[in-house]
Amino acid sequence: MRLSFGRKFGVFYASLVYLFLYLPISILILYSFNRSKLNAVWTGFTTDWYVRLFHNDSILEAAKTSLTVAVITTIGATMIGTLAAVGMYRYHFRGKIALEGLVFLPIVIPEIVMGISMLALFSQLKVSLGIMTLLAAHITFSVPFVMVVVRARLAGFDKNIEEAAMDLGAKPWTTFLKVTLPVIAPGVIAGALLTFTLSIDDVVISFFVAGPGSTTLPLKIYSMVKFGVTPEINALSTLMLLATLLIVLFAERLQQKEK
Amino acid sequence: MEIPARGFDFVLNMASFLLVYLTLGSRRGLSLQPMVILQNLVKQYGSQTVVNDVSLEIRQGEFLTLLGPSGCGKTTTLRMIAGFEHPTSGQIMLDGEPILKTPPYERNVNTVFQNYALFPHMSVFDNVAFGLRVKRVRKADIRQRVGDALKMVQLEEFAGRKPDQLSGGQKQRVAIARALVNNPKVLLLDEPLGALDQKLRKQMQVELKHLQKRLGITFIFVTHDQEEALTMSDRIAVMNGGVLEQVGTPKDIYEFPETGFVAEFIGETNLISGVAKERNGSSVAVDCGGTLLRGAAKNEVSLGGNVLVAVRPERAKLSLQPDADAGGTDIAAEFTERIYVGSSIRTMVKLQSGASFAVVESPDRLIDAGAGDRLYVSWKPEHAVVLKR
Repeated sequence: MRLSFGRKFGVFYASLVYLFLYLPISILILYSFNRSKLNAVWTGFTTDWYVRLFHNDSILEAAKTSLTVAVITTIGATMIGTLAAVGMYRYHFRGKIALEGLVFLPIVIPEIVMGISMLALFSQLKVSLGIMTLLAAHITFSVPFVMVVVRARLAGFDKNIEEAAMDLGAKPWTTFLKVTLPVIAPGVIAGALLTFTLSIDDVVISFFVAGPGSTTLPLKIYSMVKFGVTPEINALSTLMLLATLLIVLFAERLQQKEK
Repeated sequence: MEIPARGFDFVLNMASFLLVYLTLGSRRGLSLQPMVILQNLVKQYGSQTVVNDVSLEIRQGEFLTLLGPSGCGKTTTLRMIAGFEHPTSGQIMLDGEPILKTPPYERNVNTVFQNYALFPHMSVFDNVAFGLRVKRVRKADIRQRVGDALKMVQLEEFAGRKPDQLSGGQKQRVAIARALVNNPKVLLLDEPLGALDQKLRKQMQVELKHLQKRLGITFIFVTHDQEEALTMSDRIAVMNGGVLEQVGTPKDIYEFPETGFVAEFIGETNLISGVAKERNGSSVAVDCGGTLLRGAAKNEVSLGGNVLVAVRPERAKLSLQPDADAGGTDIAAEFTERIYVGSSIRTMVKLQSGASFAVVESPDRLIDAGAGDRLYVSWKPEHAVVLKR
């Protein structure tokens, strides 16, 4: 079967798109197994870089910081964002639309502006930079994302089922835990996973608000790259990629189960 | 010695009768005080009054329907009894206790919602068990009572299904079981049959009515469907614009409407406007553009005031000649059209005043008439009701 020129061009074009998307990542993964210290020539297969990675205390330290911050941010931002979204959905009050807009605005504010403004605020308040400021910043920029996702889930929410629960004798808190939360759970989980990935790979805002003892993994990579991209960084990046993919896969599984 | 013995027997009989009455009475709640009392209930949203000074007493075991067009305040009234809305003023008593300070989750009433409001993430069993679980009923009892409730609505085999695997009628039944399993003093139903198709709706009406009779629980039912209200209720409370228009048995409401609104809203009716002329007992003579019509007036009608004479289409009769036996209610009209409705024929005529008047005729006793023909409309005086305008 002969392909027409249009079809041929279409295939070529699509291949280019996928090439640009996945070639860099493939190279990165490939060279993390390269014996040479240079990212230029392939000299043989090795897993040495991974072994070295797990013996590099400063990287492990950064990974620990990143994970700690990501986990606490996920819990904090998901709780705050979910309650805020439910509150915004449930109650009607003067200026609600304006307030909602103000909550969602940080999503489009340039990250660098957020970072600088937070740094300015912390120095104004004379708060020393460290893990606490890092947490505060991460939770702050994550809350709007959780709210957006949970709000989307609430759009199809039947308010009557909350009344039905109370009608059947459930106090407001029981109603929230037993009825509201399970129904909006897919939105809450999606918000939590989004928060986790946002927090674990954030560079720009973290750059401004992290202190000397609270370097996150992305910041560590960033500082290492200044001395050239080593296979060690490739290995580290590969691991981060793997972790993110696993989270996305997990989220996808949850969504499938829901259906 | 016979008489004292009989006297003793009599006392014994009385005593046992009293005992039985008291035990039965207390168990089934056949107390004399009403189950629900609404006292001067008012609900305002800003400057808008949705429920305006509604007072109503609902007896134990009664099937009461709040009937009215959308926006008449019937649902708001129901929601105030359930506790989801708080009245601006007035009081609500449940079984002798004021309940306005009681939150919805502590009121011994349960609601069947218009859209069923089943918990989508729970099975049918878990939906029905919800109320018992939050009240920390023992597990074995929960299984027993949920089983009984599902049996009552014929859904035992569906216990494991999720709500989205049920049909509308089945969801409806789950909602009813979920509410009744808690043994409420009053069951509140907010247009529960509104989403069902006509056939299923009729069937559920009968089922619900039977269920209510069997359980002896007080039902407060909200609907805008007058036929449904007439079929199911012991008493109907007709609401319009937040005001209670009339409360009475279906027969009362249909045969003796007290206001023009009730007459028009319940079934079909012909309204002829006129001026009240004289009163003779409950019968009032009304001057309708020169013709004197008589009708029964239940409430006060001031002589000389504007009134309406209401006549049901099925109570009116058409004839080609003036009917001497009609007792004065025999008015000339002009044939306009005939509409075939299936079980009956609806004939429209035009009165001399220009108002149109409907008469329901049975298909086997049709008057031979065509457009423009002169006819006479008559009815028995007791079938006309005089209403205040």
